[in-house]
Amino acid sequence: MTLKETDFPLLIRFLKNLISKESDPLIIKELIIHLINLYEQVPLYPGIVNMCLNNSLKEHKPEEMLVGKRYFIQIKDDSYVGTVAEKGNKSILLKGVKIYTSEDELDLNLKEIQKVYSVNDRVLNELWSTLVFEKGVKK
Amino acid sequence: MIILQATVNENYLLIGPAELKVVNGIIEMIGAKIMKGETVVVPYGKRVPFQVLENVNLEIDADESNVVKIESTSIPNEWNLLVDRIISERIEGRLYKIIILGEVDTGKTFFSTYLANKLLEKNISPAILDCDTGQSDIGPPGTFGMLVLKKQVVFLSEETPTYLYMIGSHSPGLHLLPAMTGLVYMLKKAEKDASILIIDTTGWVQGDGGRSLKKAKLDIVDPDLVVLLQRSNELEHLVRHLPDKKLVRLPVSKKASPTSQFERKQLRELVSKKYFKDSRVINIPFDKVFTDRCYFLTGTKINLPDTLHAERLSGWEGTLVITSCPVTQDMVKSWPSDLGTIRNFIAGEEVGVMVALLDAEQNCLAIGRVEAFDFLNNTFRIRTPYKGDVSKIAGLQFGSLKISEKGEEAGFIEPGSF
Repeated sequence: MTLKETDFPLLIRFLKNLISKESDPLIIKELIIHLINLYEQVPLYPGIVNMCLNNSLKEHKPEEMLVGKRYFIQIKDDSYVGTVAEKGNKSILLKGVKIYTSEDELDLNLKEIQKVYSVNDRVLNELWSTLVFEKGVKK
Repeated sequence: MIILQATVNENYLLIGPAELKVVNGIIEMIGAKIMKGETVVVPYGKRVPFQVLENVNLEIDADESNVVKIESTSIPNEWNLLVDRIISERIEGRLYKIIILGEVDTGKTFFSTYLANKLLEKNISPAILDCDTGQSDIGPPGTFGMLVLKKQVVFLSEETPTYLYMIGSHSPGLHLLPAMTGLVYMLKKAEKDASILIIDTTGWVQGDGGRSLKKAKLDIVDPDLVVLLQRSNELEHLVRHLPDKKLVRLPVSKKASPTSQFERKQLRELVSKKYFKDSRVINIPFDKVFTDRCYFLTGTKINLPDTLHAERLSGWEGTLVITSCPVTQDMVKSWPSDLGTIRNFIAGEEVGVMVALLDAEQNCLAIGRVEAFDFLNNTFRIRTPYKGDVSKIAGLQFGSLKISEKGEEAGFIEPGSF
Protein backbone atom coordinates (compact mmCIF):
# COMPACT_ATOMS: atom_id res chain seq x y z
CA MET A 1 0.00 0.00 0.00
CA THR A 2 0.97 3.58 -0.38
CA LEU A 3 -0.59 6.85 0.55
CA LYS A 4 -3.07 8.58 -1.70
CA GLU A 5 -1.53 11.20 -3.96
CA THR A 6 -4.86 12.83 -4.65
CA ASP A 7 -8.17 13.42 -2.89
CA PHE A 8 -10.22 12.22 -5.87
CA PRO A 9 -11.09 8.93 -4.04
CA LEU A 10 -13.00 11.11 -1.55
CA LEU A 11 -15.40 11.99 -4.34
CA ILE A 12 -16.05 8.31 -5.06
CA ARG A 13 -16.64 7.82 -1.33
CA PHE A 14 -19.06 10.76 -1.38
CA LEU A 15 -20.99 9.14 -4.25
CA LYS A 16 -21.03 5.80 -2.43
CA ASN A 17 -22.43 7.45 0.72
CA LEU A 18 -24.89 9.41 -1.32
CA ILE A 19 -26.50 6.42 -3.00
CA SER A 20 -26.51 4.37 0.19
CA LYS A 21 -28.07 7.07 2.36
CA GLU A 22 -30.20 9.07 -0.06
CA SER A 23 -33.29 7.44 -1.53
CA ASP A 24 -34.51 10.41 -3.55
CA PRO A 25 -33.07 10.10 -7.09
CA LEU A 26 -33.88 13.74 -7.77
CA ILE A 27 -31.59 14.82 -4.95
CA ILE A 28 -28.95 12.32 -6.05
CA LYS A 29 -28.91 13.75 -9.56
CA GLU A 30 -28.84 17.32 -8.24
CA LEU A 31 -25.88 16.59 -5.98
CA ILE A 32 -23.98 14.91 -8.82
CA ILE A 33 -24.54 18.02 -10.94
CA HIS A 34 -23.39 20.07 -7.95
CA LEU A 35 -20.25 17.92 -7.68
CA ILE A 36 -19.43 18.54 -11.34
CA ASN A 37 -20.01 22.29 -11.00
CA LEU A 38 -17.81 22.51 -7.92
CA TYR A 39 -15.09 20.45 -9.58
CA GLU A 40 -15.14 22.71 -12.64
CA GLN A 41 -14.70 25.71 -10.35
CA VAL A 42 -11.79 24.24 -8.39
CA PRO A 43 -10.33 21.40 -10.46
CA LEU A 44 -7.11 21.41 -8.44
CA TYR A 45 -8.73 20.73 -5.09
CA PRO A 46 -10.91 17.59 -5.01
CA GLY A 47 -10.58 17.64 -1.21
CA ILE A 48 -12.23 21.06 -1.06
CA VAL A 49 -14.93 19.89 -3.50
CA ASN A 50 -15.62 17.00 -1.13
CA MET A 51 -15.73 19.33 1.88
CA CYS A 52 -18.24 21.58 0.09
CA LEU A 53 -20.39 18.64 -1.02
CA ASN A 54 -20.68 17.35 2.51
CA ASN A 55 -22.03 20.76 3.54
CA SER A 56 -24.35 21.26 0.59
CA LEU A 57 -27.59 19.52 1.48
CA LYS A 58 -29.63 21.54 3.96
CA GLU A 59 -32.85 20.42 5.57
CA HIS A 60 -35.66 22.94 6.07
CA LYS A 61 -38.92 22.92 7.95
CA PRO A 62 -41.94 23.06 5.55
CA GLU A 63 -43.03 26.41 6.96
CA GLU A 64 -39.57 27.89 6.27
CA MET A 65 -39.78 27.41 2.49
CA LEU A 66 -39.39 30.67 0.59
CA VAL A 67 -41.13 31.84 -2.56
CA GLY A 68 -38.79 31.72 -5.55
CA LYS A 69 -36.51 29.03 -4.13
CA ARG A 70 -36.13 25.51 -5.47
CA TYR A 71 -36.77 22.67 -3.03
CA PHE A 72 -36.73 18.88 -2.93
CA ILE A 73 -39.76 17.58 -1.14
CA GLN A 74 -40.60 14.07 0.03
CA ILE A 75 -44.08 12.84 0.85
CA LYS A 76 -44.15 9.15 1.78
CA ASP A 77 -42.46 7.31 -1.10
CA ASP A 78 -42.85 10.12 -3.62
CA SER A 79 -40.27 12.79 -4.40
CA TYR A 80 -40.88 16.20 -5.92
CA VAL A 81 -38.60 19.03 -6.98
CA GLY A 82 -39.82 22.46 -7.95
CA THR A 83 -39.72 26.18 -7.29
CA VAL A 84 -42.13 27.68 -4.77
CA ALA A 85 -44.38 30.03 -6.74
CA GLU A 86 -46.91 30.83 -4.04
CA LYS A 87 -47.09 30.17 -0.34
CA GLY A 88 -50.24 30.15 1.77
CA ASN A 89 -50.92 29.25 5.40
CA LYS A 90 -51.62 25.61 4.64
CA SER A 91 -50.14 24.96 1.22
CA ILE A 92 -47.59 25.94 -1.36
CA LEU A 93 -47.73 26.03 -5.14
CA LEU A 94 -44.74 24.54 -6.92
CA LYS A 95 -43.76 25.34 -10.49
CA GLY A 96 -41.37 23.55 -12.83
CA VAL A 97 -42.11 20.33 -10.99
CA LYS A 98 -40.51 16.93 -11.51
CA ILE A 99 -41.96 13.95 -9.75
CA TYR A 100 -40.49 10.55 -8.93
CA THR A 101 -43.08 8.07 -7.75
CA SER A 102 -43.03 4.49 -6.52
CA GLU A 103 -45.56 1.82 -7.40
CA ASP A 104 -45.84 -1.80 -6.24
CA GLU A 105 -46.83 -2.87 -9.74
CA LEU A 106 -47.15 -1.18 -13.09
CA ASP A 107 -48.54 -2.36 -16.42
CA LEU A 108 -46.77 -0.87 -19.45
CA ASN A 109 -47.75 -1.02 -23.05
CA LEU A 110 -44.66 -2.20 -24.96
CA LYS A 111 -45.55 -0.06 -27.95
CA GLU A 112 -45.34 3.06 -25.80
CA ILE A 113 -41.85 2.34 -24.57
CA GLN A 114 -39.31 4.51 -26.41
CA LYS A 115 -35.96 3.41 -24.95
CA VAL A 116 -34.82 0.70 -22.56
CA TYR A 117 -31.42 0.59 -20.83
CA SER A 118 -29.65 -1.68 -18.39
CA VAL A 119 -26.24 -1.45 -16.75
CA ASN A 120 -23.69 -4.06 -17.76
CA ASP A 121 -22.20 -5.16 -14.44
CA ARG A 122 -19.75 -7.46 -16.24
CA VAL A 123 -18.12 -4.63 -18.17
CA LEU A 124 -14.77 -4.99 -16.36
CA ASN A 125 -14.63 -8.70 -17.24
CA GLU A 126 -15.34 -7.87 -20.84
CA LEU A 127 -12.92 -4.99 -21.28
CA TRP A 128 -10.11 -5.82 -18.84
CA SER A 129 -10.53 -9.29 -17.47
CA THR A 130 -7.00 -9.42 -15.97
CA LEU A 131 -8.19 -6.96 -13.36
CA VAL A 132 -11.00 -9.19 -12.11
CA PHE A 133 -10.10 -11.02 -8.90
CA GLU A 134 -11.90 -13.36 -6.57
CA LYS A 135 -12.87 -11.60 -3.35
CA GLY A 136 -11.14 -12.96 -0.25
CA VAL A 137 -7.99 -15.05 -0.05
CA LYS A 138 -8.08 -18.66 -1.30
CA LYS A 139 -6.25 -21.28 0.69
CA MET B 1 5.85 60.28 10.77
CA ILE B 2 7.00 58.78 14.07
CA ILE B 3 10.42 59.81 15.38
CA LEU B 4 11.67 57.07 17.68
CA GLN B 5 14.76 57.34 19.84
CA ALA B 6 15.63 53.93 21.20
CA THR B 7 18.47 52.66 23.29
CA VAL B 8 20.62 49.59 22.98
CA ASN B 9 18.90 46.21 23.67
CA GLU B 10 15.39 47.63 23.42
CA ASN B 11 13.01 45.54 21.33
CA TYR B 12 10.08 46.60 19.15
CA LEU B 13 7.52 45.05 16.86
CA LEU B 14 6.76 46.84 13.61
CA ILE B 15 3.48 45.96 11.90
CA GLY B 16 3.07 46.58 8.19
CA PRO B 17 2.35 48.58 6.21
CA ALA B 18 5.24 50.67 7.51
CA GLU B 19 8.49 52.22 6.38
CA LEU B 20 11.42 52.59 8.75
CA LYS B 21 14.57 54.64 8.20
CA VAL B 22 17.63 54.43 10.44
CA VAL B 23 18.85 58.01 10.89
CA ASN B 24 21.58 57.07 13.36
CA GLY B 25 22.69 53.87 15.02
CA ILE B 26 22.10 50.19 14.17
CA ILE B 27 19.15 47.84 14.58
CA GLU B 28 18.79 44.15 13.79
CA MET B 29 15.77 42.75 11.98
CA ILE B 30 15.47 38.98 11.41
CA GLY B 31 19.25 38.68 11.76
CA ALA B 32 19.97 41.49 9.28
CA LYS B 33 21.82 44.57 10.47
CA ILE B 34 20.13 47.78 9.35
CA MET B 35 22.65 50.58 9.37
CA LYS B 36 22.53 54.38 9.30
CA GLY B 37 20.74 55.66 6.19
CA GLU B 38 19.11 52.33 5.35
CA THR B 39 15.36 51.90 4.92
CA VAL B 40 13.11 48.90 5.44
CA VAL B 41 9.62 48.68 3.97
CA VAL B 42 7.30 46.38 5.89
CA PRO B 43 4.53 45.18 3.56
CA TYR B 44 0.89 44.86 4.55
CA GLY B 45 0.27 41.71 6.55
CA LYS B 46 3.85 41.37 7.78
CA ARG B 47 5.02 41.89 11.36
CA VAL B 48 8.69 42.19 12.11
CA PRO B 49 10.47 42.51 15.45
CA PHE B 50 13.68 44.46 15.74
CA GLN B 51 16.34 44.91 18.39
CA VAL B 52 18.46 47.99 18.93
CA LEU B 53 22.16 47.14 18.66
CA GLU B 54 23.41 50.75 18.98
CA ASN B 55 21.36 53.69 20.25
CA VAL B 56 19.24 54.82 17.31
CA ASN B 57 17.12 57.58 15.88
CA LEU B 58 14.44 56.12 13.65
CA GLU B 59 11.93 57.70 11.31
CA ILE B 60 8.92 55.45 10.97
CA ASP B 61 6.10 56.04 8.53
CA ALA B 62 3.27 54.02 10.10
CA ASP B 63 0.26 54.31 12.39
CA GLU B 64 1.38 54.72 16.00
CA SER B 65 -0.40 51.50 16.90
CA ASN B 66 1.83 49.66 14.43
CA VAL B 67 4.98 50.32 16.47
CA VAL B 68 4.89 48.27 19.65
CA LYS B 69 7.60 48.08 22.30
CA ILE B 70 8.09 44.49 23.42
CA GLU B 71 9.73 43.12 26.53
CA SER B 72 12.38 40.89 25.04
CA THR B 73 13.89 39.70 21.82
CA SER B 74 11.81 37.20 19.89
CA ILE B 75 14.96 35.32 18.87
CA PRO B 76 15.64 32.41 21.24
CA ASN B 77 19.27 31.72 22.05
CA GLU B 78 18.79 28.20 20.65
CA TRP B 79 18.70 29.74 17.18
CA ASN B 80 22.17 31.22 17.58
CA LEU B 81 23.50 27.96 19.00
CA LEU B 82 22.12 26.24 15.92
CA VAL B 83 24.00 28.66 13.66
CA ASP B 84 27.23 27.69 15.46
CA ARG B 85 26.38 23.99 15.12
CA ILE B 86 25.75 24.28 11.38
CA ILE B 87 29.04 26.08 10.87
CA SER B 88 30.94 23.43 12.83
CA GLU B 89 29.29 20.53 10.96
CA ARG B 90 29.69 22.00 7.50
CA ILE B 91 32.30 20.44 5.23
CA GLU B 92 34.04 22.77 2.78
CA GLY B 93 33.11 22.00 -0.84
CA ARG B 94 29.96 20.05 0.04
CA LEU B 95 26.45 21.50 0.15
CA TYR B 96 25.02 21.38 3.69
CA LYS B 97 21.26 20.92 3.45
CA ILE B 98 18.70 21.97 6.02
CA ILE B 99 14.97 21.28 5.78
CA ILE B 100 12.61 23.40 7.84
CA LEU B 101 9.33 21.67 8.69
CA GLY B 102 6.32 23.24 10.34
CA GLU B 103 2.58 23.63 10.04
CA VAL B 104 1.09 26.78 8.52
CA ASP B 105 1.95 29.99 10.42
CA THR B 106 4.78 28.58 12.51
CA GLY B 107 7.37 31.12 11.39
CA LYS B 108 9.31 28.92 8.93
CA THR B 109 10.15 31.81 6.62
CA PHE B 110 11.15 34.06 9.52
CA PHE B 111 13.43 31.34 10.87
CA SER B 112 14.91 30.56 7.43
CA THR B 113 15.66 34.25 6.85
CA TYR B 114 17.27 34.62 10.27
CA LEU B 115 19.42 31.56 9.74
CA ALA B 116 20.56 32.72 6.29
CA ASN B 117 21.40 36.24 7.53
CA LYS B 118 23.44 34.90 10.43
CA LEU B 119 25.31 32.45 8.18
CA LEU B 120 26.08 35.22 5.72
CA GLU B 121 27.40 37.30 8.63
CA LYS B 122 29.93 34.47 9.17
CA ASN B 123 30.96 34.71 5.48
CA ILE B 124 29.20 31.53 4.48
CA SER B 125 27.17 31.57 1.27
CA PRO B 126 23.61 30.48 2.06
CA ALA B 127 20.71 29.93 -0.29
CA ILE B 128 17.05 29.75 0.68
CA LEU B 129 14.73 27.56 -1.37
CA ASP B 130 11.12 28.59 -0.91
CA CYS B 131 8.91 25.57 -1.64
CA ASP B 132 5.76 27.19 -0.26
CA THR B 133 3.97 27.81 -3.55
CA GLY B 134 0.81 28.99 -1.81
CA GLN B 135 2.57 31.63 0.22
CA SER B 136 5.63 32.36 -1.89
CA ASP B 137 8.16 34.81 -0.55
CA ILE B 138 10.77 34.17 -3.24
CA GLY B 139 9.17 34.51 -6.67
CA PRO B 140 5.48 34.71 -7.55
CA PRO B 141 2.88 32.26 -6.17
CA GLY B 142 2.83 28.89 -7.90
CA THR B 143 6.62 28.74 -8.16
CA PHE B 144 9.59 27.43 -6.26
CA GLY B 145 12.03 30.30 -5.83
CA MET B 146 15.62 30.19 -4.69
CA LEU B 147 17.62 33.14 -3.44
CA VAL B 148 21.38 32.86 -3.12
CA LEU B 149 22.11 35.56 -0.58
CA LYS B 150 24.78 38.11 -1.45
CA LYS B 151 23.62 40.55 1.21
CA GLN B 152 21.48 40.33 4.32
CA VAL B 153 17.75 40.59 3.70
CA VAL B 154 14.72 41.36 5.83
CA PHE B 155 11.90 40.35 3.50
CA LEU B 156 12.64 37.66 0.95
CA SER B 157 9.70 38.93 -1.09
CA GLU B 158 11.60 42.15 -1.79
CA GLU B 159 14.46 40.31 -3.50
CA THR B 160 14.78 39.08 -7.08
CA PRO B 161 14.94 35.28 -7.10
CA THR B 162 18.21 33.75 -8.28
CA TYR B 163 16.29 30.80 -9.75
CA LEU B 164 12.63 30.07 -10.40
CA TYR B 165 10.84 26.82 -11.13
CA MET B 166 7.16 26.83 -11.95
CA ILE B 167 4.93 24.34 -10.16
CA GLY B 168 1.80 25.93 -11.62
CA SER B 169 -0.42 25.60 -8.58
CA HIS B 170 -0.74 27.03 -5.07
CA SER B 171 -0.61 23.53 -3.67
CA PRO B 172 1.66 20.62 -4.63
CA GLY B 173 -1.44 18.40 -4.62
CA LEU B 174 -2.10 17.23 -8.22
CA HIS B 175 1.34 18.70 -9.01
CA LEU B 176 3.51 16.32 -7.03
CA LEU B 177 5.74 15.41 -9.96
CA PRO B 178 6.57 19.02 -10.90
CA ALA B 179 7.17 19.67 -7.20
CA MET B 180 9.69 16.84 -6.96
CA THR B 181 11.32 17.69 -10.30
CA GLY B 182 11.60 21.29 -9.17
CA LEU B 183 13.22 20.23 -5.94
CA VAL B 184 15.87 18.21 -7.78
CA TYR B 185 16.44 21.09 -10.20
CA MET B 186 17.00 23.52 -7.34
CA LEU B 187 19.30 21.13 -5.49
CA LYS B 188 21.55 21.00 -8.55
CA LYS B 189 21.63 24.79 -8.74
CA ALA B 190 22.37 25.12 -5.03
CA GLU B 191 25.25 22.65 -5.29
CA LYS B 192 26.91 25.02 -7.76
CA ASP B 193 26.09 28.35 -6.13
CA ALA B 194 25.87 27.95 -2.36
CA SER B 195 27.53 26.33 0.66
CA ILE B 196 24.38 25.90 2.69
CA LEU B 197 20.85 25.35 1.45
CA ILE B 198 17.90 26.15 3.68
CA ILE B 199 14.69 24.59 2.37
CA ASP B 200 11.54 26.35 3.54
CA THR B 201 8.65 23.94 3.05
CA THR B 202 4.86 24.14 2.84
CA GLY B 203 2.75 23.78 5.97
CA TRP B 204 1.10 20.69 4.47
CA VAL B 205 2.32 18.07 6.95
CA GLN B 206 -0.71 15.89 7.61
CA GLY B 207 -2.89 13.46 5.71
CA ASP B 208 -1.95 11.30 2.74
CA GLY B 209 -0.68 14.19 0.64
CA GLY B 210 1.27 15.92 3.41
CA ARG B 211 2.95 12.70 4.53
CA SER B 212 3.79 11.61 0.94
CA LEU B 213 5.16 14.98 0.01
CA LYS B 214 7.33 15.45 3.07
CA LYS B 215 8.71 11.89 2.97
CA ALA B 216 9.61 12.30 -0.71
CA LYS B 217 11.31 15.62 0.01
CA LEU B 218 13.29 14.17 2.88
CA ASP B 219 14.33 11.17 0.77
CA ILE B 220 15.38 13.27 -2.21
CA VAL B 221 17.22 15.95 -0.27
CA ASP B 222 18.86 13.62 2.28
CA PRO B 223 19.30 16.59 4.61
CA ASP B 224 22.11 17.12 7.08
CA LEU B 225 19.67 18.75 9.47
CA VAL B 226 15.89 18.82 9.85
CA VAL B 227 14.44 21.63 11.92
CA LEU B 228 11.01 20.92 13.37
CA LEU B 229 9.11 24.07 14.27
CA GLN B 230 6.27 22.59 16.25
CA ARG B 231 3.77 23.56 18.91
CA SER B 232 3.57 20.07 20.33
CA ASN B 233 4.54 16.86 18.53
CA GLU B 234 2.62 17.43 15.29
CA LEU B 235 5.62 16.76 13.03
CA GLU B 236 7.08 13.67 14.69
CA HIS B 237 5.27 11.25 12.33
CA LEU B 238 7.31 12.68 9.43
CA VAL B 239 10.75 12.01 10.89
CA ARG B 240 10.52 8.64 12.63
CA HIS B 241 12.96 7.16 10.10
CA LEU B 242 15.64 9.77 10.76
CA PRO B 243 18.40 9.52 13.37
CA ASP B 244 17.91 11.88 16.28
CA LYS B 245 21.25 13.59 15.63
CA LYS B 246 19.79 15.06 12.42
CA LEU B 247 16.76 16.53 14.18
CA VAL B 248 16.40 19.87 15.90
CA ARG B 249 13.14 20.59 17.64
CA LEU B 250 12.27 24.23 18.17
CA PRO B 251 9.13 25.61 19.79
CA VAL B 252 6.96 27.91 17.71
CA SER B 253 7.30 31.52 18.77
CA LYS B 254 4.22 32.86 20.52
CA LYS B 255 4.58 35.85 18.20
CA ALA B 256 4.00 33.71 15.10
CA SER B 257 0.63 35.06 14.09
CA PRO B 258 -2.09 33.11 12.26
CA THR B 259 -3.17 34.46 8.90
CA SER B 260 -6.72 34.00 7.66
CA GLN B 261 -7.64 32.44 4.31
CA PHE B 262 -8.46 35.95 3.05
CA GLU B 263 -5.18 37.45 4.30
CA ARG B 264 -3.24 34.63 2.66
CA LYS B 265 -4.93 35.38 -0.65
CA GLN B 266 -4.16 39.09 -0.24
CA LEU B 267 -0.50 38.35 0.51
CA ARG B 268 -0.26 36.05 -2.52
CA GLU B 269 -1.80 38.69 -4.76
CA LEU B 270 0.49 41.37 -3.35
CA VAL B 271 3.51 39.37 -4.47
CA SER B 272 1.94 38.46 -7.80
CA LYS B 273 0.83 42.03 -8.60
CA LYS B 274 4.32 43.28 -7.81
CA TYR B 275 5.80 40.62 -10.09
CA PHE B 276 3.55 41.55 -13.03
CA LYS B 277 3.72 45.32 -12.42
CA ASP B 278 5.96 46.16 -15.37
CA SER B 279 4.87 43.40 -17.67
CA ARG B 280 4.41 43.67 -21.43
CA VAL B 281 2.85 41.46 -24.09
CA ILE B 282 5.21 39.51 -26.33
CA ASN B 283 4.41 37.37 -29.36
CA ILE B 284 6.08 34.01 -29.77
CA PRO B 285 5.52 32.03 -32.99
CA PHE B 286 4.17 28.51 -32.40
CA ASP B 287 7.06 27.02 -34.38
CA LYS B 288 9.80 28.75 -32.38
CA VAL B 289 9.20 27.02 -29.05
CA PHE B 290 8.55 23.61 -27.56
CA THR B 291 5.59 23.22 -25.23
CA ASP B 292 5.61 21.40 -21.91
CA ARG B 293 2.99 19.91 -19.55
CA CYS B 294 0.41 19.92 -22.33
CA TYR B 295 -0.65 18.17 -25.54
CA PHE B 296 -0.79 21.34 -27.64
CA LEU B 297 1.88 21.42 -30.38
CA THR B 298 3.30 18.03 -29.42
CA GLY B 299 1.59 16.03 -32.20
CA THR B 300 1.21 16.14 -35.98
CA LYS B 301 -0.87 18.99 -37.28
CA ILE B 302 -3.83 18.07 -39.48
CA ASN B 303 -6.51 20.09 -41.19
CA LEU B 304 -10.04 19.50 -39.96
CA PRO B 305 -13.03 21.57 -41.13
CA ASP B 306 -14.59 23.93 -38.56
CA THR B 307 -11.56 23.85 -36.25
CA LEU B 308 -8.99 26.47 -35.30
CA HIS B 309 -6.33 23.85 -34.79
CA ALA B 310 -6.11 20.06 -34.85
CA GLU B 311 -3.26 17.63 -34.30
CA ARG B 312 -2.93 13.89 -34.03
CA LEU B 313 -1.35 12.89 -30.73
CA SER B 314 0.76 9.88 -29.90
CA GLY B 315 -0.82 6.39 -30.12
CA TRP B 316 -4.01 6.02 -28.11
CA GLU B 317 -3.99 9.67 -27.01
CA GLY B 318 -6.27 10.55 -29.94
CA THR B 319 -6.62 13.98 -31.48
CA LEU B 320 -6.51 17.44 -29.96
CA VAL B 321 -9.10 19.65 -31.55
CA ILE B 322 -9.33 23.34 -30.75
CA THR B 323 -12.58 24.98 -31.73
CA SER B 324 -14.44 28.18 -31.01
CA CYS B 325 -17.44 26.23 -29.71
CA PRO B 326 -17.94 22.64 -28.48
CA VAL B 327 -17.53 19.94 -31.13
CA THR B 328 -20.90 18.75 -32.49
CA GLN B 329 -21.91 15.47 -34.11
CA ASP B 330 -22.35 17.33 -37.41
CA MET B 331 -18.74 18.53 -37.33
CA VAL B 332 -17.43 15.07 -36.59
CA LYS B 333 -19.31 13.61 -39.59
CA SER B 334 -16.99 15.43 -42.01
CA TRP B 335 -13.81 14.32 -40.21
CA PRO B 336 -11.78 11.12 -40.79
CA SER B 337 -13.03 8.19 -38.72
CA ASP B 338 -9.59 7.20 -37.35
CA LEU B 339 -9.01 10.21 -35.06
CA GLY B 340 -9.49 8.19 -31.88
CA THR B 341 -10.50 10.07 -28.75
CA ILE B 342 -11.32 13.68 -29.57
CA ARG B 343 -9.84 16.02 -26.97
CA ASN B 344 -11.81 19.18 -27.48
CA PHE B 345 -10.46 22.44 -26.15
CA ILE B 346 -12.49 25.60 -26.56
CA ALA B 347 -10.39 28.59 -27.64
CA GLY B 348 -10.46 31.37 -25.09
CA GLU B 349 -10.22 29.04 -22.10
CA GLU B 350 -6.43 29.50 -22.24
CA VAL B 351 -6.66 33.20 -21.38
CA GLY B 352 -4.91 33.90 -18.08
CA VAL B 353 -3.14 30.57 -17.76
CA MET B 354 0.16 30.82 -15.91
CA VAL B 355 3.16 29.96 -18.05
CA ALA B 356 6.90 29.66 -17.52
CA LEU B 357 9.21 30.98 -20.21
CA LEU B 358 12.05 28.47 -20.55
CA ASP B 359 15.43 28.78 -22.18
CA ALA B 360 16.99 25.96 -24.21
CA GLU B 361 18.26 24.29 -21.00
CA GLN B 362 14.76 24.51 -19.49
CA ASN B 363 15.77 27.17 -16.98
CA CYS B 364 12.86 29.41 -16.10
CA LEU B 365 13.55 32.89 -17.50
CA ALA B 366 10.32 34.38 -16.16
CA ILE B 367 6.69 33.69 -15.46
CA GLY B 368 3.92 35.00 -17.66
CA ARG B 369 0.22 34.69 -18.38
CA VAL B 370 -1.32 33.58 -21.64
CA GLU B 371 -3.13 36.44 -23.33
CA ALA B 372 -4.21 34.23 -26.22
CA PHE B 373 -3.34 31.41 -28.54
CA ASP B 374 -3.50 33.47 -31.73
CA PHE B 375 -4.48 31.02 -34.46
CA LEU B 376 -4.64 33.73 -37.12
CA ASN B 377 -0.95 34.47 -36.76
CA ASN B 378 0.08 31.13 -35.20
CA THR B 379 1.63 32.83 -32.19
CA PHE B 380 1.39 32.73 -28.42
CA ARG B 381 0.57 36.11 -26.92
CA ILE B 382 2.13 36.18 -23.46
CA ARG B 383 2.12 38.93 -20.83
CA THR B 384 5.33 38.82 -18.82
CA PRO B 385 7.75 41.05 -16.95
CA TYR B 386 10.60 39.34 -18.87
CA LYS B 387 12.86 42.06 -20.23
CA GLY B 388 15.44 39.88 -21.96
CA ASP B 389 15.89 38.77 -25.53
CA VAL B 390 12.68 37.04 -26.73
CA SER B 391 14.73 34.78 -29.01
CA LYS B 392 16.16 33.13 -25.88
CA ILE B 393 12.70 31.75 -25.06
CA ALA B 394 12.92 28.16 -26.29
CA GLY B 395 9.97 26.64 -24.48
CA LEU B 396 6.67 27.34 -22.76
CA GLN B 397 5.62 25.35 -19.74
CA PHE B 398 1.98 25.65 -18.73
CA GLY B 399 0.57 25.78 -15.22
CA SER B 400 -2.91 25.24 -13.80
CA LEU B 401 -3.51 28.68 -12.30
CA LYS B 402 -5.13 31.59 -14.03
CA ILE B 403 -3.95 35.13 -13.38
CA SER B 404 -5.49 38.46 -14.33
CA GLU B 405 -3.52 41.06 -16.31
CA LYS B 406 -2.62 42.73 -13.02
CA GLY B 407 -1.49 39.52 -11.36
CA GLU B 408 -4.66 38.85 -9.37
CA GLU B 409 -5.92 35.29 -8.93
CA ALA B 410 -8.43 34.41 -11.65
CA GLY B 411 -9.26 30.73 -11.19
CA PHE B 412 -7.89 27.51 -12.63
CA ILE B 413 -7.64 25.41 -15.74
CA GLU B 414 -8.19 21.70 -15.40
CA PRO B 415 -4.85 19.89 -15.80
CA GLY B 416 -4.61 18.15 -19.18
CA SER B 417 -7.16 20.47 -20.84
CA PHE B 418 -5.07 21.26 -23.92
